[in-house]
Parts: sequence; C-alpha cells; structure tokens
Amino acid sequence: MVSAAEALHCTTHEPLPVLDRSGNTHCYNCIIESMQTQAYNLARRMLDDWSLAEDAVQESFVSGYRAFHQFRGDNLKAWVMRIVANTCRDMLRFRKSRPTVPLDPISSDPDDPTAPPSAADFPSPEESPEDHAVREELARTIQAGIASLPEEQRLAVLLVDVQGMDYEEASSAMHCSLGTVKSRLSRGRGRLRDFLRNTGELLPDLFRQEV
Amino acid sequence: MLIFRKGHTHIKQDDLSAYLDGQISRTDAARIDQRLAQCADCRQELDALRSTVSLLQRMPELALPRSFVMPGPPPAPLAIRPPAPLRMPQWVYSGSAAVAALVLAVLISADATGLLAPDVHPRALESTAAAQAAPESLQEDGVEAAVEMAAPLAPVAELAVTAEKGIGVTVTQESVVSEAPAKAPALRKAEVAPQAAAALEAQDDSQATAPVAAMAEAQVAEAAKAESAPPPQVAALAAAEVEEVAGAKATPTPPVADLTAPEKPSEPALAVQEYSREIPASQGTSLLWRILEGMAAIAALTFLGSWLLRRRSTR
Repeated sequence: MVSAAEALHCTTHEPLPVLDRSGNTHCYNCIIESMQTQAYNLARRMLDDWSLAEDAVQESFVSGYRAFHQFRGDNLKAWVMRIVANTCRDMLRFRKSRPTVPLDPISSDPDDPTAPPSAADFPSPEESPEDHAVREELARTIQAGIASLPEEQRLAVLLVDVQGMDYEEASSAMHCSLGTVKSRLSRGRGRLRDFLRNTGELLPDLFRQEV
Repeated sequence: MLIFRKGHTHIKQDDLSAYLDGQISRTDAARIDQRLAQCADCRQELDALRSTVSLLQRMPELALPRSFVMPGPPPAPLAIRPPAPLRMPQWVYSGSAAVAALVLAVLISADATGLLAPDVHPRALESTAAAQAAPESLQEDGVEAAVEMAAPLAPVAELAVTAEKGIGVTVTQESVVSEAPAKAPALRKAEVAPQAAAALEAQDDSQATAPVAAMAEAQVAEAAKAESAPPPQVAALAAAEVEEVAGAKATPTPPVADLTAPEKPSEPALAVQEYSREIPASQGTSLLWRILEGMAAIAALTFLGSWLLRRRSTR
C-alpha cells in the first residue's frame, strides 16, 4: 500500500488506489479533488438544494469508487458527471415521490448558512454595493430559471453552458445521442430565454431592449 | 441539416442553438449566415439566445461546503437487497396481478353468463326421470355458482360453509319431498340452490318473509309447471334462474377476511370430482374451468402480495 501511495505521489490526502478497466492505477482521492467542485456545482444547480447536493456528491463519489473498475480511462469528467447526474435523477425522483415542505423557503436557498463564504459572496473593491446586489439578484433569477426547466433540459444546459462541456462529453455524461443533447440544449436555452425575458427588469440592458 | 418551417423563413431554434456552439456543418452555417443577414427577427432570436448562454457561462462557481476527499475506502454496501424474486421493477408485479385479475374476471363472467351452459345443463337435464343424478349435479352447480361469484371477494370460506349447510338442509328437505310426491321433481330442482332450499324451509316454518323465499316459491311453481308438461328447455330455464338467485344471494354476503380463502374452493372441486364419476362428460369441462379460475385467483393474489412486498422494500 505504501508503495502504491508513493507511486501515486499523493501529498495532500490519504492515497486511495483504484484500478480502471484496463488495469491502470489511479488515486481516487486525487480524482475527487479534481472533480468535487464541478460535481458539487452540478448537483447544487440540478437539485436546487444545498444539503441534498452535498449528499448527492458524497453518494456519487462512493458509488463511483465501487464502480471504478468499469471506467475505461478515457473521459474522467464525463464519467463522474454521469454518476452525479444519475444520483441527482434518483434524488429528484425520491423527492417527487415524497414531497417535503421547506421550513423556511426564503432562507433555505441559495445561501447555505454553514457553507464557507466564497469570493463571489463579497463585493469586490471596484464594485458598488448596488452592483453587487444586482449581480446576486441576477444569479438568483438565473438559478430560478434553471430550476424551472424539465430535468433533462436542465442537465443539458448545466453540462454544456455552465460546466462548459462539448456536445460529445455531454452525450456521454447524459447517456444519450448527440442529437438528443442538441435538441434538449436548444429547448432548455429557449425556455430560459423566455423565462429571463419575463423577468426582464432584473436583467442587463440587452434584455431590457428586447422586451 | 437545416430545415425551414413551412410558410416561415425563420431559422429553427435547434439550428440557432447549434450554430452558437459551432456544432453545425459548414454548408449549414453558411446558409444560416445568409438567412441571418436577411432576417432581423432571426438575428434578434440569435442575440437573445447568445446572451442567455453568456449569462449561464458567467454564473459564479459555488464554493464547496467541505472537501469530499475520503479518509479511506468506503465500507462495502450493506446487503439490503430484496430477495431474488422481488428484484424486478414494481410494474412487473402490479401488471402481472392486473393481468391475472383480468383473466379471472373473464373466466368468471364467461361462466356466469352461461357460456359453458351448453356443456353442462342440457345433459344434466336430459332425463328428469333420472331424478337422483340430475338434481345433485344442478345442486352442485348452484353451490359452485355461489362459490365462484364470491371468489374475487375474500369470504369464500364462509360461503363454502353456508353451502355445506345448504346441502345439509336439502338432505332434510328430502323427507318433505317424499311427502309431496306430486311436487317431488320440481322440488328437487328447487334444491339446486342451497339458499333456495333454505328459503323453502323457512317458508315451511312460516317465519321468514324474505323476498328470496318468494322467489323460490315462484320457481317451485314454475318447475311444477315444467313437470306437468316436461320440455327440458323450461326446466333448464328454471334451473338457470335458481342459479341466479344463488348468485345474487352470494354477492352481498358481508366479506369476512379469511386468509385460508384460496384453499377453500378445493372442497366443492372435490365434490365435483365425485359427481363427475356419474356424469363425466358434462362435468369435465366445468372442472377444468374451476381449476383455471382457482389458478387465476391464486396468481392474482400472489402477484398482488409480491407487488406490495416489493413496494415496501423500495421505501
């Protein structure tokens, strides 16, 4: 085990060697470190709930560890995102089957009281408090728009536009054809555009001119 | 793959979206460029789509609430998988239960509407003079009708018990029958349904004034008519009516939850076997029918049970 750890060159965490399908050794914790932010962002935007998102990421990484021998070693991001997407689907289905009423719908989202504040949470020196408030409001509106999309369109928009995947990667992560990615993405974008148009007063000048 | 809608010159949204990402062939892109140059609406659509995408791309990355790095390999999953036969998706069980119930309903309704009647009744009624065999077979039919009508409900067991009582009652009725020789064959036919027989008894005691008693009386009268000029068709009609009475009486019996219900129908089935020695041809098909009904009922209950179990295991 020690030799494996040395071979993996892990310094910041416990080495967790795993074998992929072709027998190559990886450190699973290195994979987690490189993917966790994207995985969390996807889960959070997919589920629109910070505590569920945390569970989803945790669960995804555990099931990814167990299924790592199936990984072909080609596109790690697509592989991880596929697991996260599947976990999110399961959670959404579960939530649909037994809906819960949030105790405080306003404060439950988007701000997680326990999460460490990110740089985006503080106004930068050159940004006025008004601009900061507008920017935050915009992010909230966009998130509401994303949350209003049907599940698969939401996933397509998140993977391609927010996560910056290409169609190929997205089709692998969504487990569907390129054409399906294309149409889901287009419909999702169209819906979002209409949503943002309807909430026009919160949006940059470009949208206000169009309305 | 650029398709323009009929009657419109606007570019399809799918193509605009792919055009934004450069995920479109060069020839199609050239055609879109051309179209965009001509159509202000299309340009506006593209701009709106483009700014939507750019807003999405500029969404701030959310900070991690914690690191998901694992302190060690995660523990093996707990073996809480449901037992092997219950691993299929839920709809398999619910669907099978529905199909079995449907089959059962078809079998029963085919039976109740007399689809099988040509097989059973005319032969049984062939000679009213063969008084012993015919009433017995008819009587059995009555019991069975009562049982099968009740089959989809739980209280088969209780019904079987009442049916047995009915048989007992008919035995006591034999003495009455022998005392009234003129009415004898008619009465025997009336015995067909144990309930009718019971009603007869009640009438003798002149206590109960239930409508069933009245109906039984009517049938006795009709059967007596049949005796005076014995065309077998009329007799069959009367028998069918008596059966109906039995069925009608069986249905409103208050349901009593009894888990041994599916096993109970075997009692009349056994009885049928006994009678089938006397009239093998007429009872052969109906016995097969009863077995099919029983199997369908058991299948429906089994699938229903496994579906409920499967549902619970997923929760």
